Amino acid sequence: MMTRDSTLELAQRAILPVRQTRRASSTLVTRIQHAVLLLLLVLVTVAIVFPFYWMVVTALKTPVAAVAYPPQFLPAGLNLQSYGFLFANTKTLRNLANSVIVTGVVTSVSLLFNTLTGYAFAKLRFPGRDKLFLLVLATYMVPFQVVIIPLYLLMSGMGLLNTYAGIVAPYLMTAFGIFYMRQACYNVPNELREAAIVDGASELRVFWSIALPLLKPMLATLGVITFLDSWNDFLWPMLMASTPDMRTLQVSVAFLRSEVQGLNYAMAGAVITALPIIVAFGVAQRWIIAGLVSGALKE
Amino acid sequence: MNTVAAVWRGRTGYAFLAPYLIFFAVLIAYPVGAALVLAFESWTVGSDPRWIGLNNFQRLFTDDLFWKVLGNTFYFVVGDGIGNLILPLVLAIVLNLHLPFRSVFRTAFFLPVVTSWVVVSVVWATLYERVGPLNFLLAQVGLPLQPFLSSVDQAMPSIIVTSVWKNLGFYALIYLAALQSIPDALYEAGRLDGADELRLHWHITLPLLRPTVFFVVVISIVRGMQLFTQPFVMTDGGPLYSTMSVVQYLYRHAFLNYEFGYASAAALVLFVILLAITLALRALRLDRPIA
Repeated sequence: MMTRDSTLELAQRAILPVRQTRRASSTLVTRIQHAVLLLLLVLVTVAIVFPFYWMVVTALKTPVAAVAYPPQFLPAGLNLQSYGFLFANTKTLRNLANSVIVTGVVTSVSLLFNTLTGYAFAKLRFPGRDKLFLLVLATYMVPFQVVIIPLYLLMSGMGLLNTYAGIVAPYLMTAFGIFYMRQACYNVPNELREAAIVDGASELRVFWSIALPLLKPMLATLGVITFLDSWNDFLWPMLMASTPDMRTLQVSVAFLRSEVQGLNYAMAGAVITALPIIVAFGVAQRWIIAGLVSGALKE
Repeated sequence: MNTVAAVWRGRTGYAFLAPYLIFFAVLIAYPVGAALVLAFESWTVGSDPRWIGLNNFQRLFTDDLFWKVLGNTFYFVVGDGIGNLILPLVLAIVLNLHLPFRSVFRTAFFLPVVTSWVVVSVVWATLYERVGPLNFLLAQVGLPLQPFLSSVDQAMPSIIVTSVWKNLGFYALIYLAALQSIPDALYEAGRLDGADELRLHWHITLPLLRPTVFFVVVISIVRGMQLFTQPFVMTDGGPLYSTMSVVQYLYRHAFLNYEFGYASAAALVLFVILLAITLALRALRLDRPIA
């Protein structure tokens, strides 16, 4: 039966190199079928990749060329003028910095706190532990749209509108993160912890020096999911930013089209916004895919 | 005395838990409580909250626009759901055959998945332009130019296409994982009995895939009901409110009209609908592999 855990395992196996589980058929008919399917796959891949190609190419055009018809599918040259314009005449550089700050803070802080909490639920004993975990479950069930208005009013009341603190606040801990790290902490051997305590280490020391190093792969996976979600987040950062210089990249890209004349500038903004994730994806593909599947299982 | 001793012994645990307890109290419990109360109040900037009972809900359910956006959102959920159900499955079946360059394809298909909805929406809005590449391609094969996002009839389907495009790789991976868990022995046995590919898939693949399909349906619906970014960026809810989602309706009333109470009522209704759908799907118990 497909449980959540087995789906995750299987998805992780799906991204590992393939073992030959079927004897390769060598009939001509199968070869032709496979050739046709390969061709279809290539066409689908083109359909998948084309919008990205279009985004990059349009960013290299002049404002006039960007809306020319028939559309120019090949760039006239390596013209980085759009990017220069954005950095010189809009808050894009500041928006980039905002995204970096917000995502960096959210990822590191939530990783620390989620792990601390997950570790406590998994390894430490205290009265009411299971009842308190129900709180985490309750957090899980609440969709963001329900709390977005009170959260906004709360931030407003605390004077945190249009501030970094206000933007990062709701993300400093997540129910999913706690679930995930609690699960991960179950795999930390108790013997190590007990031995360290006998030697006089405090719980915090055990957590920091023994558990955390062992949890590195899980930390990486959760870190990747958090990084992705935070970088790509739109609604809350948009709500929090009442001036353009507090916007994150996602927010600024959404408004570029209407605020700056020229499609090429909008596309350049899109490239700047999408590039870090795509680069990260190129480098850490396995982590990201594994993380995305784990993330889906939370829903 | 026993309890006090136990609490004292567990003090480290509470210490570890302190950040979460504070976070929960301030950023979860309080807002949730406030949301529940707000829904029954009238509150706008510059005035105090005023209890008005069920008035918000009455206004909500008599607002034609609310029913329209609800319909739009359901339309999206169904269209997006069907797209997410079928296309990635076909893709996964093809990928499951041992064709070359699979990792290249996998990398390509995941590019949209890791890209944000904002970037995807901005780029696709460009593709859908009257004088954009999509219309150009249509013109090349002799088809008339389409209004896409400027047409009341085509706007939401266009958004659905964009959304299915973005998640194709993601759902395909989930299906692929499930497909790879089906033992080859079953297919071998079927082939020995003379079944062709279609029958094999109908009788072996699809039944064993039922829990995965259910899983995909649930995620797709939950995400779909929360639709906001694509219509907000691509059409701002237009033309003529044909793409406005429930969340955008909520957003407008809360942050453009400052009707915090009324918008909270809408948020509550959304939550209840989501809960009802999730519970109903669970009750159908479709996540078992065989009936």
